[in-house]
Amino acid sequence: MPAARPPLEPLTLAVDAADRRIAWYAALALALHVLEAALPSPLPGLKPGLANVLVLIVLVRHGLAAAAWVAGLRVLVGSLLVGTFLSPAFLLSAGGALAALLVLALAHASRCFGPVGLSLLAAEAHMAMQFALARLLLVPHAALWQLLPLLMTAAVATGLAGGIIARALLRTDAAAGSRP
Amino acid sequence: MSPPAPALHPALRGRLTAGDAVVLALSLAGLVALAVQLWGADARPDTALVRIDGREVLRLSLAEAGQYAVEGPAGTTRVEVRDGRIRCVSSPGPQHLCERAGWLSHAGEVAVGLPNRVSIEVLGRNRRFDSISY
Repeated sequence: MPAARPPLEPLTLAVDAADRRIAWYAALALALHVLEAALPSPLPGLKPGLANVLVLIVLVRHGLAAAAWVAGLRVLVGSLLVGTFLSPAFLLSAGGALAALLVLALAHASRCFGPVGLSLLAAEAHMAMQFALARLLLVPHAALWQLLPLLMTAAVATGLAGGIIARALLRTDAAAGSRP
Repeated sequence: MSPPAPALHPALRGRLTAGDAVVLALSLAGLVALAVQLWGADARPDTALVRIDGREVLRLSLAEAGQYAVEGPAGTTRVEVRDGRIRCVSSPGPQHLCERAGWLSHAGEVAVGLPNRVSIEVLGRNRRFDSISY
């Protein structure tokens, strides 16, 4: 038995700049998520989707891994904050976010699209997956199809608006020559 | 010093690209197609079913206007078909829920009058449950 053991170093996890960045973005996305949850909505599944604009910006600035982290944290922690964790709403939210992320990753990798195109594609993928899940799991009834044109119109409108916001933010970056 | 052009992703410069225009155009065209497909005249269901006590007593074409009467355990329920829609005109139920369902025109819409055990349903492409609630 050694007589004098050196005092144990406190266990620390290395936190690098990328982790802090993800945490900041996730916090911002969560704030938007909670804010949107408080807004009245004429239809379930209809939201401005501002948190998804943030995911788009993170993807463009910092790549897919960071965007996946922000999207995942947003859905998980957001559902805990709003109180929908593991509920049907959570399932739709998670499915939509996953579909949007996949489409975003592919579209971004193709280098064909600017923020407006990316945002439109993501919003449409989100809504399409959400609708498919709702149709399969929640309301397996033919009448639900009557809502689809309305929901997709909303997706195009919010996708376009989100794309314009993302474009404005990314352009300010480009003009300042900085990428925070 | 400007970075080499191909290294910078178009989205990073906040550019509008030809791809953006294509996505927007296809989105708008898709919306029109969806609305025509799902809300257009072709998508309108053409048949309604009237049941008493779960038994089919009338199968009506929504294309032909007409008034019909069915007999249930509590009395007579009258239904009317007009302009591709169907409604319950009168039913013996005290709350008149069947009448208050109004005109039914979309697949899956239902009006029921329980005292008379009558149900009117517009037929859709497929039907299972109304909804599942958790």
